[in-house]
Amino acid sequence: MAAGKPVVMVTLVSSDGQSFQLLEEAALLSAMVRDTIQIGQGRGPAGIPIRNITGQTLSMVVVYCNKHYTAAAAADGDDAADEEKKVANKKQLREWDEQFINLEQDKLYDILVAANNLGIDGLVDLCCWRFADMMKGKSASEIRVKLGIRDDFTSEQRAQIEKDSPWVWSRTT
Amino acid sequence: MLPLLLISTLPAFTLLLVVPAATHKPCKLVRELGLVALLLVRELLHHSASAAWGGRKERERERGVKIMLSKEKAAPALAAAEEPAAAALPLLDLPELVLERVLEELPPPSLAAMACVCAALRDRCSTDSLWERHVTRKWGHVLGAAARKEWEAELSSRKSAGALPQPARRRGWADSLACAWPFSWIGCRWLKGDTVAAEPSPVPVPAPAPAPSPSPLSQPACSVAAWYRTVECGEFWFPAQVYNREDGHVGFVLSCYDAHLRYDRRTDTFTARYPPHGRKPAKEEDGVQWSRIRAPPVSTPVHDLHASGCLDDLRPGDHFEIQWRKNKDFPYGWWYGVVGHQESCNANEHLCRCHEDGKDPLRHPLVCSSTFTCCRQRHVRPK
Repeated sequence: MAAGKPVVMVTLVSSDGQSFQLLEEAALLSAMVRDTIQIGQGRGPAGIPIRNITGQTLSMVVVYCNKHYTAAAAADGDDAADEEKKVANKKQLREWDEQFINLEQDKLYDILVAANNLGIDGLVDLCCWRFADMMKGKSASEIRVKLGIRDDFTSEQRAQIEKDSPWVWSRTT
Repeated sequence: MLPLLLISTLPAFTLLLVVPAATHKPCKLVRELGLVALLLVRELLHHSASAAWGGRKERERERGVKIMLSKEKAAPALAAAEEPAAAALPLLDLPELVLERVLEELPPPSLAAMACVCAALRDRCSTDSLWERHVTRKWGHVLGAAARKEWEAELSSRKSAGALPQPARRRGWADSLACAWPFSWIGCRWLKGDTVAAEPSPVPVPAPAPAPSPSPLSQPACSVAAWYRTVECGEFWFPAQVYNREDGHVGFVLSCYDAHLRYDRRTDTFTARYPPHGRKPAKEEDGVQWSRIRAPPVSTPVHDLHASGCLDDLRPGDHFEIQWRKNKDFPYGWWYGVVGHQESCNANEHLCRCHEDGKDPLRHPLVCSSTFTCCRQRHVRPK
């Protein structure tokens, strides 16, 4: 962060009325906030209303934005630093990300939807990665249980699928 | 059923009444009457049979529903143990692109498992774009255009061999009859009857089924997902090349031979089937590692000489591959070599004129480096 730059804060207001203040630059990670500010809104004391996202979810999103903004600012600060340090920092951030997103699937789902609505690509990617990670190594019936999806195949279709996908049923590796 | 029977027999009787007045050719009349009688009998038989069969089917269907219902009961009982009523995650409500990103993150076995979860996910998990990435990532360097071509050829031959359906023949027969006979509706009824009969044994239909989508549930045979599965499950011998045929066989070091390969997912290796060498039968080699396989870099058939366009550009130090075979009963193999200097040359970078004298390594074997000649000599000697 350059010293001479004035600190501009932005307020995000969740659907249940909770307010979150954060640096404008951190909030700009969201395409939706970027668009709002670009058309000259959202800088007032009323803040930017975020519909359909509760305070609980928004607080997590704000934590993510703050962390990634600080990490990016730190990386900009020492751009002369050696590659090794950059790689190490990146790895550290990734570890933080993975720990941050290590959530119950309901919360994960809410954050994914929120990140998608707010247009935070990095967070969407992270959530998708985590979702996929939760599904990895699971059989179809285990996934069904995990996601609460009903098996809507008829017995005929099921037989066909079992014929089509022998490697799913007889997993050897 | 009775009114239908009456209606269907009515035109035949009308014809019986009308025809004697209309024609004076007894011979033709007899033939026509015979035909009418025949049709009438067939129609009656058909009706009585279908009435009896229908009743049985009805009963069977009822029983089927009962069976299905009891099955339904049994299945949820099974599922209930594994399916907690809560926490239904509306994964399918996610925006298209987001769900796509989740699916992109899945490795092939998980993606395939996901495709067996429900009908909607089956559609989403079977797209070519998703599987294309996996095919390239896993099989990219062993599967060439030739492999895909052979597979497509096999698919189309399988299709043409297996898909000429019987009902088509029957329909043709019934169709021609329908055309020949003025009461085309009889033909239509028969057609219907035929298609019903052509269906596999009556399958109990679950009455209150939540309308399973008519989308193709089995992945179409030509899809990329099916291509991946076919190779992964070792259902297809694909053409590729194997380095150092019969691994450890000293006569094949630094060679690369065409073969057909099949993947074995239990051992994560391949079985190679080499074309016959002369009178020797075709040979198979198990446990071929990934590192010994490549997609054929050129599409020249194993018994043809490859026309190379870059011989003039060869310089000492260049790496090359050259075709070689014992005699014309043998397939060509590709042998690796490095272009060397001629004996008369002192290998000085600035003074070397080798490339001007020995353009063709076959005609000027000295151009070839020791690496190449040593393999060659070894191989030339009778084993």
